Amino acid sequence: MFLENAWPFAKKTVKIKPILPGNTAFLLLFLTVSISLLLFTVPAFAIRLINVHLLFEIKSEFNKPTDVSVSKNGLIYVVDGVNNKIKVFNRKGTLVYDFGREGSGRSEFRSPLGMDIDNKGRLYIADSGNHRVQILEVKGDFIAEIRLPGDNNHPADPTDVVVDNGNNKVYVVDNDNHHLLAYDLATLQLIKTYGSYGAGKDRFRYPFFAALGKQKNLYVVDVINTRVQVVNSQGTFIAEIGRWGVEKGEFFRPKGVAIDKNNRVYVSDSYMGVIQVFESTGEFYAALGDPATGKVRKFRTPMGLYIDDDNRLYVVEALANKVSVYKLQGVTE
Amino acid sequence: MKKITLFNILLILLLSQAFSTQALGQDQTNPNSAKACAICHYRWIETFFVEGKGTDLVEYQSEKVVATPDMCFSCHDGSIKDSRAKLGDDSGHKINKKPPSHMKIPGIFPLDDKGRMQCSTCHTAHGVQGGPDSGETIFMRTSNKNSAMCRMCHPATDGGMASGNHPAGIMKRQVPAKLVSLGAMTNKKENEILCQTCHVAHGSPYESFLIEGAGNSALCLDCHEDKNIFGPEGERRPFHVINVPPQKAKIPAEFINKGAKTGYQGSITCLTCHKVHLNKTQEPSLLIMGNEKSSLCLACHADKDYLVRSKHNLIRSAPKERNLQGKTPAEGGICSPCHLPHKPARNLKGKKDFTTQLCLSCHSKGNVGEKVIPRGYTHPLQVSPFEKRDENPFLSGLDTEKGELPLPLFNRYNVRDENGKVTCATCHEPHGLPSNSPSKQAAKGGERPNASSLLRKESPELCRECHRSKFGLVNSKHDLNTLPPEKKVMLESKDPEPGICGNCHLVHGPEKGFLWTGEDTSSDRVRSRGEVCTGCHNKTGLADKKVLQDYSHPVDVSPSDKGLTTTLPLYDSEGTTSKKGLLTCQTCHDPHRWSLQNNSDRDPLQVEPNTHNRFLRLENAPVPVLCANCHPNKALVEKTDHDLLITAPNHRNIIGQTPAQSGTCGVCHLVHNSKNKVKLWAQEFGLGTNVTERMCYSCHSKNGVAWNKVPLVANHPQEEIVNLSGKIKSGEKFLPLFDPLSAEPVLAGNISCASCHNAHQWDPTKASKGVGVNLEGNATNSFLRTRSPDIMCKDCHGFQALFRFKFFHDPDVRKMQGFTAPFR
Repeated sequence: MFLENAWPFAKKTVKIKPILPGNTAFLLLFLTVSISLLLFTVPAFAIRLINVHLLFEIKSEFNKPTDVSVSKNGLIYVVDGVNNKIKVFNRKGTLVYDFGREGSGRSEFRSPLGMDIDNKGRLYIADSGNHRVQILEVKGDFIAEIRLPGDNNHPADPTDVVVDNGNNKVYVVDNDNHHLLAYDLATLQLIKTYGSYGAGKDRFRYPFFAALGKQKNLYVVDVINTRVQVVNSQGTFIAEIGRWGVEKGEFFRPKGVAIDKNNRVYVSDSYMGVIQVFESTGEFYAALGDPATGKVRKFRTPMGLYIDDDNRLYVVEALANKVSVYKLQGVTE
Repeated sequence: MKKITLFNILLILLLSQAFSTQALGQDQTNPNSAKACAICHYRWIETFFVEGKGTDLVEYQSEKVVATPDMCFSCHDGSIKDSRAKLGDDSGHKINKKPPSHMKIPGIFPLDDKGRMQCSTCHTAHGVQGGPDSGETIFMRTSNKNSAMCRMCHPATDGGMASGNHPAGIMKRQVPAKLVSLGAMTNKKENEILCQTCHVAHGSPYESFLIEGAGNSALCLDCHEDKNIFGPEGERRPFHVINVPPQKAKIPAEFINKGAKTGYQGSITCLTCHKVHLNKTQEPSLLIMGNEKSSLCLACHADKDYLVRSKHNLIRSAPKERNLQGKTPAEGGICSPCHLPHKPARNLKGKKDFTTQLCLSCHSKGNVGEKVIPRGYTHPLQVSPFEKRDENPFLSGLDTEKGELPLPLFNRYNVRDENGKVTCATCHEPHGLPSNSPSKQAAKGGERPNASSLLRKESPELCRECHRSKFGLVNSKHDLNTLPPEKKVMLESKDPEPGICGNCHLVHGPEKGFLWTGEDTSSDRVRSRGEVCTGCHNKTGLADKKVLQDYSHPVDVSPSDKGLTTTLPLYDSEGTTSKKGLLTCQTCHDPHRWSLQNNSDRDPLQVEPNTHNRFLRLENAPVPVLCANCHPNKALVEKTDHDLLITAPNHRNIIGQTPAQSGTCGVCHLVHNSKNKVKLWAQEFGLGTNVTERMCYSCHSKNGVAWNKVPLVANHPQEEIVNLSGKIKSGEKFLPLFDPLSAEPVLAGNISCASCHNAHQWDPTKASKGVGVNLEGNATNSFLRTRSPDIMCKDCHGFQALFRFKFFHDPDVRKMQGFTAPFR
């Protein structure tokens, strides 16, 4: 909104040029300084908006869905956790099939939350209530599971899983135990546990969803610490993105995270209902919205995010029981 | 002025930028000062609360929003605690609504500014020590131990039975594991009932936030499993039905007004008769109304009111009878001798359906209804009148569509159901009949003793409802009411009102097999099949002029043993149809249908017997449909030269029937009473050396009907014994041999006419009927079994075949050799 107010004002300064014809040099100098200052000040008062074009919405009798992922062949997988199902849609958003039911057996779920897909198309489901990650074929046939250890006080509470094919690792976010677990992708053996409860570096308070960046760094939404922590594949702290608050670059309830081709970081805030975009180094870059109107785009309880190879942004809106699919504008490699 | 103004504005902008940068720096140094509270109290975020403004991302928050559904979900979405299944628009305790006006909400439970309930009405993070890391999962405003918090807002539902509510507290039995697994709370004692044992504040998709649906009585039956109408083995218990819509019963509006609830599709549930909260009736078991003198029962079952005046009103007919509760009819109410809602009222025995067991509990020896005991066999029970209709098209006894049958059928609940089965109550109305019903009227006159048997209709109308097509015998020779007086005296029906059905069938107490009234002539053997027919069709019977004599089509044989298949009904030893059964009289005859033709305007007794009547199941002329059903290969004779309907319509068989009267097959074969055993031959035999030739010569002789088709030499030299085993070349069609006396196929013997000819098929290459024209044959057809060039002589005689054929088929040469053609 500041952007909208600022530029008309700048135009007015141009219009007053004839008012001081006798002192042209001073006026030009003054205007140059003024305009420079104005340009410099715009970011301090305004917010950059990234336009997105709504392609379609997926509504399929969801009950508070949480996460979304897209396979290389364009199938859209949505975690419909209350229904204990994974629902699969084609690129146009038409339901193709679903699988899963409540239970603790193979291909059964208890309140799954997050998911990822590896480069072979296998599905990794954070089967939260069963304290495990299930690895399934594209149509839900069981392949393997990773039983998470938990600790003495809390059973494991996997909320998201991220596959790093390059480093041959699977990262699992254990929400209740405030840490990440790295597993060998081939053997499914635990390699390392990252982090513990706390607010400092390498500490988490209720980590939730995560995503993998271009440099194979892991971006973990640290909900109660209201930030996104960036760690490398060794678990070493790299940076943190965002802080507590409701201003741009701040979070109230960060939930979902996704990385675009420019390695920019998209973070959803489920209570504020916005998606903010950060540079990979942590600086606020923009919010999703309409530059033409200056309005920040509002979502209903945005949670899981996904950006596919075609610059399509998928936003799970839990309480709206839908997944919104957008075309990102101006994002190029 | 404008100069100053413009300059000032620019200056302000510069200063504002400098201030803004400074402010940002200050915020960065102290970013989290209010986070601990504002993490839920969104309104208290500094930007809103101190600075009084919104931001680039969100609007200014002027109202407090703590503990709104969205705020709760922002943590209970799985990111801190996963309560997704419990939070929703309809799955939890009401929010965003004002409490009912009669409800007084204690001040400890704050409503929002508009007087509506919110999450914060019951929950607060400050009521108990806790927070995201405390391990506490529910932040209640006050302790809910023993449902204390529930009772504070809902005091009227407290107090147990005395207050008209379902009891709470310590019970004798434990709360079932199933309920516990569904989330039922028991307050550490497994036999303690709390509000939360049945209700859950969050996550219920059911009415009244029950942990399990009561619309199918499931929640009630979890604890009160002994009230379930089905036992653990699936057996039907003699209890009041639940979970089915009422059929004839009508739930009074008064019940609904009092709070009675029906289940899915208006079905009867536990809560239809029991009101478990706020029940003001003071009746035992929280009944919705009292049941004195069965008044509760009769409130819904008003159609059973005729019971009062029937002999099944045991208050009048057996006042001292006691049910299993020990109560007399007067004490328990008019329904109580037979029915108790959740207990058996009588000792039920056996494995028959519940209704039958209930009837027999009185109508059996030593019991109150022993005067009327069904003896012997009885009409089938637990069968569907519709189930066999499609199985065999010849048994279309029931031509009523489902749903149109006036008599009730009963399902596993013993509730009326068009897909149900026959029980005693299909024919009998044990609760009595309206005084204006025909049965009742007839009973009053005393003329119709059966009419007092609480039958829903009089016989035979009662029978007609299911067996309508059986009434095709009316006025036929099988309608024994048409018997002349001298014959009628021979009837010794056991049915006091035999009617058209009762002359032959007894619904109760017949001999086994067709519910036959006649005496069983066989001692231990089941009455079956033809014996029913021969009961009358014998020399001393009612049908003494239609008696089987001499030779007839075989019965009690299996068509499959002869390599035949049929769609006609076959019967097992019990007299019921079976695909593996045997052929009987009823296979070809339907004793209840005289004619296949619609000649209802004519008196069947005056109709000449022909191939469309005689109680045949199928017509047999001009197309031999009936015979073809078992003998399709023989039926290829139709419209060939051997079909005398075409070639000799005036020719008669040995009993004087023309082809039109006997049918195509009947010209040569008599199904009943043939003088000839061989092939039931229906013509006078001709001359010949064996019976097969003699049958052919019946017609193909000088004086026969086929006098113009007499071969000069037809027989093979008899001295020569041929042993071809019948299947040398092309299977059984190739030159079969026949016994000279019986005409049965044999492996060794002499060549006869039928060795080369198949009298039933004109062209050996086409298994088809004839064309209806008298044709001149040649060596490729002429009823030959195979075409001449392919056979027959050369297979045995090789290159001599032609020579031998010419030599032996020259009459003169044959004569020289001492052979004579007998027909010449």
